[in-house]
Amino acid sequence: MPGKLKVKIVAGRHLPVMDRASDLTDAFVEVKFGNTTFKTDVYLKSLNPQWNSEWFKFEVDDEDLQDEPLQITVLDHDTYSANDAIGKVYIDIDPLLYSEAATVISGWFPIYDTIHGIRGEINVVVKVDLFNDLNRFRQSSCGVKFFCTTSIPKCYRAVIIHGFVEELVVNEDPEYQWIDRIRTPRASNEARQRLISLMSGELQRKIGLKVLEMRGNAVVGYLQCFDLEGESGLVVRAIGTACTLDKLSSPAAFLPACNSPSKEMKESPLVHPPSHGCRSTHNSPIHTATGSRLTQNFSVSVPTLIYTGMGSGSAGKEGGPFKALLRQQTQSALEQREFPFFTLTAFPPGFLVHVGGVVSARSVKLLDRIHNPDEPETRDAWWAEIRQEIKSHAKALGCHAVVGYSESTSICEEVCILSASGTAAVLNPRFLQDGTVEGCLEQRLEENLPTRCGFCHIPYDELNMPFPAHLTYCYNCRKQKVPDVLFTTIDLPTDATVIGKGCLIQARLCRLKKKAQAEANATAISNLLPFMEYEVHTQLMNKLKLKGMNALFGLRIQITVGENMLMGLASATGVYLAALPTPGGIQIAGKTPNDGSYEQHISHMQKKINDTIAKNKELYEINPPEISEEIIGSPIPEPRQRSRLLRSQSESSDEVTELDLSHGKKDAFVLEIDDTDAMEDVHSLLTDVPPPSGFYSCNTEIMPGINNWTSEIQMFTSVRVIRLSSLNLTNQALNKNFNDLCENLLKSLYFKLRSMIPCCLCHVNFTVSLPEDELIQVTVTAVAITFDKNQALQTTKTPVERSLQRASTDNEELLQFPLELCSDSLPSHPFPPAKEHLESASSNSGIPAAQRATSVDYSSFADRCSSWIELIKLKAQTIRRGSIKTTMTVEKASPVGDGNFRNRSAPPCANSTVGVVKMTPLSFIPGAKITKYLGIINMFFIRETTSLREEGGVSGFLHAFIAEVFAMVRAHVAALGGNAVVSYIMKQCVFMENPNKNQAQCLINVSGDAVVFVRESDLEVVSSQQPTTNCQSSCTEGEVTT
Amino acid sequence: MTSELDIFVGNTTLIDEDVYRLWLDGYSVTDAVALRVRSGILEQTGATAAVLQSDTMDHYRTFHMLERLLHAPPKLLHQLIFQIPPSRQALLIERYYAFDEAFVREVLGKKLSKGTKKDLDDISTKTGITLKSCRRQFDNFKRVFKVVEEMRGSLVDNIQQHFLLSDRLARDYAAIVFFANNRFETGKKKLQYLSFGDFAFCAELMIQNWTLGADLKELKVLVADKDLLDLHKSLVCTALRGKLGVFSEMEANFKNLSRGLVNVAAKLTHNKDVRDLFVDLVEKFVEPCRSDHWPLSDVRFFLNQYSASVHSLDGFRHQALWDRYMGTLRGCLLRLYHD
Repeated sequence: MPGKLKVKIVAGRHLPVMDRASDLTDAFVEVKFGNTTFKTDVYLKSLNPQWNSEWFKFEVDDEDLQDEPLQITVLDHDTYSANDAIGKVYIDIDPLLYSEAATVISGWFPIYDTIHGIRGEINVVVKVDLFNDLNRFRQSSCGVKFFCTTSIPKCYRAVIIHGFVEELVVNEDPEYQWIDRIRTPRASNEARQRLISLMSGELQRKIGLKVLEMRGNAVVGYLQCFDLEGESGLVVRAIGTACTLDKLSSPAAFLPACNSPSKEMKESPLVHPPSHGCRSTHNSPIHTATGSRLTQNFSVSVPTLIYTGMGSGSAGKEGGPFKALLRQQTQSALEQREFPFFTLTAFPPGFLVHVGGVVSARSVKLLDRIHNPDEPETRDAWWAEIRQEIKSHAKALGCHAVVGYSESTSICEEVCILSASGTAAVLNPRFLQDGTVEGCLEQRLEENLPTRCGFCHIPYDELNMPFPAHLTYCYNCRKQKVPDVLFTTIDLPTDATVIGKGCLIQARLCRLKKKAQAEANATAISNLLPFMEYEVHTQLMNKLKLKGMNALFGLRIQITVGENMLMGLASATGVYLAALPTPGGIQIAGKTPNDGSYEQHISHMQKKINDTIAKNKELYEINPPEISEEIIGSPIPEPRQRSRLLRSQSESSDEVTELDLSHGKKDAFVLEIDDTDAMEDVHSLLTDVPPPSGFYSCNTEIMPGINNWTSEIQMFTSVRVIRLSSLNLTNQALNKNFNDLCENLLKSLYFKLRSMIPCCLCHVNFTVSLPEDELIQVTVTAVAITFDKNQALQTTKTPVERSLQRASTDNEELLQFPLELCSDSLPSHPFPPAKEHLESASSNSGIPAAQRATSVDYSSFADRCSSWIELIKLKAQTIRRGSIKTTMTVEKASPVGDGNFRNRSAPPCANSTVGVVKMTPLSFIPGAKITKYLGIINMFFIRETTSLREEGGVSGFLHAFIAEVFAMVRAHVAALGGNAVVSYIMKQCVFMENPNKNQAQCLINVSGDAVVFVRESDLEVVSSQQPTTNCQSSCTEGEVTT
Repeated sequence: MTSELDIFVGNTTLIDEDVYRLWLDGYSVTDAVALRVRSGILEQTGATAAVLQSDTMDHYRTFHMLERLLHAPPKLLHQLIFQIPPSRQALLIERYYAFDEAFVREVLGKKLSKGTKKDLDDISTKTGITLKSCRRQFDNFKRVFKVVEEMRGSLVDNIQQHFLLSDRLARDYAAIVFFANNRFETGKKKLQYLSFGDFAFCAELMIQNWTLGADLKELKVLVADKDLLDLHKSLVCTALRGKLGVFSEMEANFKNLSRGLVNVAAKLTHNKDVRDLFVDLVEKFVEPCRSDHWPLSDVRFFLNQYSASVHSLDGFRHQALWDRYMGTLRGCLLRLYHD
């Protein structure tokens, strides 16, 4: 009997009127866990019942504790007929099962009904007493911590990163069972919610067992998804990265969160001096040989594809014995694993050695009924197949591992596209095994100077490249080869040197498809996929060049299948990596050269493109230093050589054989306008409107080039559905519609959030679905974060200028906002040691200082609040939670200024009793420090209506539902004692409507990590004169710190 | 291509003050979009009309959802669905319960019933305030009235507690409730020159100082007893001789004025006659003085003396009652005495 669950029902409020006669309600509560049910007394005639029940005690196995949700049902007592249900609350008690998280769940929960939505609130207290279980063969995995965050969570350090864990469970979907024909929609929805809750509990427990087997104690980057396969069943699957985490206990745990990476390297117990650029550190002579130059390309292998901007490495040859040793160790460490995959997107310093490029695999499957839910072998086999493919792609890139790994599906009727993608990488073995490989290797690594370009260096043999690519010497260290373009699915490493700012880059594509059945349909889709991948890639490449940038981070390509079309949407954040060569322009070439007017048209287009590139460079502040060839010691460039990118699939294979050993860096990207499609492409390139001034956007955690966030954040979800006119649907018209849909949506976001300017939309996450024949649905979740413009503009200034300017702006600010102590009180050390390292290192190699000045400034305005202050804060926090009537501080979260109102007579409602809970898709909160992780939030809701018009139509219905979902997430977090959700994600938003029947249904699945955070300004009040800005840079990446 | 569905939901509910104003003013989405376009917002932001349309719809939908909560403001504070910073909550409530001067003058003192609600059409036409806005304002009056009608304790406090209004607005509502409850006539033509502020001022004085049921009939003796009236007059005239610019007019009119003021007191005991309070005050005091061109300072002198002299009338035993009555009445009259 390993556990005792105790539940107390305290009170209800704002209940709906259930008895029309009295305008009141006779409410009571059923508390159910597993097969045991308790009831409270009936509280007669009240909309605000005070049950104050006894403690209901459930004695249960911890296996059940993990699987089962606590189910609380509020009912209206009726003497003569059946009791009417008011609504339910499901509480996941998992956070109570590990010691470091929450100890009690206590608070007001919205009472939710799948037909009526939220109907009042109920106050519940839940506790768990766990008994020690010495049974080694137990089925439970209590104690394994789960994190959605795709980096090592703050306040933990990674001892070992074990690797990939996956699991899936299947079941019949209650919606498609025979009984569904005779039960009410409410009963059916509730059966589904309950089942999914059970299945995710089971899944989490099973994953936990795998983690324990690997001797880990946590799962990071946990991603759980549902596949609603309709008739054939319901699949819940999850992937994650098993780790052994150590809680950073005091005083280490209370180190300021926001010091620079360089500082952490010194202070954090785990992190050894940066071994990022370990390859560049051995004493190989400067390589003067000419680099090889090849056409940027990618293979199209039905139904999968790899592409990468990457080049050759020098592995065995150049690397010397040290390099070989490293390689060997990594290999052995990884080969023990079936799948050397990591769902992380940000890594502890030194973890990521090289990045190869994006690897992806897709496969089209026909769904059939899952006959035996206990043996979900088919689905397992499908995924295993895809993962094998990913693994072999990574190998082909000379990489042993895949990072930033994710999996997804798109289902339409009986066809399912399974997709997996990640970034091939070479990792430092240090984190992958118990400290066996440390020692002399470690020593060697530590001796070397850090370079910030190591991850860009190509990971495999230059003479044995799987793909042709342009290679040059790294523009940073001048020692290793780098590709001309780099695509990755991970976040920008914190220490990467970036020039200027980044921006969101999207490729959008639709392809019509004939309606077909079964195999014919699957074949048709399989045939279309490679073309779509190819075009998506072409678009990305073109747009990247148009922005004057050379690398993509956070690349996510979604292919969605519908009845009569396929949609492709790729999002990524473009940046200019200082280590990579300057991208060439885009050259337009016509096929009919003798036509005069045509030539004119071409040259006009060319001019437009050139102008756009110039404008973008200015907009994103991309002004890399002009480096003369002599300085870098490369041979005299040969005349410009054009690489050709042809639209036709068949021709490309001939083109790629063209090997060019020259070292031209201004190679242009040629677009041949040989058909109307290409014209369309060029036009669409130019129609993408940049965000209005003061706005930036990216789909990664942070925006390169912006590092002075203020604390104002606004997370939002926006959904749009458009109906296509069924007449004359062509690919072009479709593309235009889709493109307009996305662009208009972005424009609306910029408009709505205009009062937050200067601001950046971070982690912009688009998902596309095709709910019906002629409907396209786009869902966007992102967070808008304001930043301090004065300081942002100064990133390109020289240090002296900068500190002077900053001092003066600070004075101004002090006048305006006397409470904001933003200061640069450490003028003697404007730069952290590592930065100086870099400067000295790079000045050795003779790079003009201007280049470095533009790099992202992660200066350590070291937050040196002493740990005792933090301790006090933490204690205060602990005391506060649990008490329901906590008055949270008034927070200025609304993007619309409330200055006007403040001057008016103070109204009496300044004391809100509802605590503020922040939500963000990022793993950090700007200007604040996460002090505790309380557990994972993973919630699934169904909402249905049979009175669509009365609820304000589809928009009214969905608007209300999403607001309710937010509210329920916030309530759960608050009940756990938290004040924020980080790494929040809306994984699914399935919307179906039937306006003729006045009906609609929606399913939403969200997850995230509940946390406690403390404002840095709160700390600073005590410790005085602490820098308020520039703090988040380190919080953003998965540094093992705090 | 048509947008079937278009929504934006923030973790912190976005409130656009300008759009809120347009919504409160009862404009349709189309009208609101047109007004926003006219404000030059498209040029300022570089947005398109479609963006503006979508934004306006979104805000209207949010306000519509919030409206239910605004009907019981404490609910807005405790609800969990919309995360709104307290200062914004206060703004939402305050603006929702704010009303137009022109509108309130039309319904002040009227019974807040269905019958009046039917007249809103006319009021809308007359005042130029949209019918929708008129309805909201009327429903606000009625809602506040219903909630505090039967309550004990301070009217202002009760309103503030149940509707979380600012002090100023709560006082205004107290006046509206007080007028509606007593059904004071305010619509007569001769009362048109009075603003809501004038009435609210009087209401506040009356709420603070008067209790219903006091035996004001006792004061009647001041005009019914001829000796007392003459004595009163001579006391006032002696005191004011040489100090009043309109002395002779005052002397000539004293008895009429005094009768008017004392009779008002007597009428206050009959519920039916209470309604005419302001009509009486204006007819019996303000108008006669105004026609004789009394300056306000003279009115003040006179009322002070008129009220104080009663203390020297030996035969009069209701000094305390008189002071309470005249104290308030003097305040009201001075406020009502203007063009």
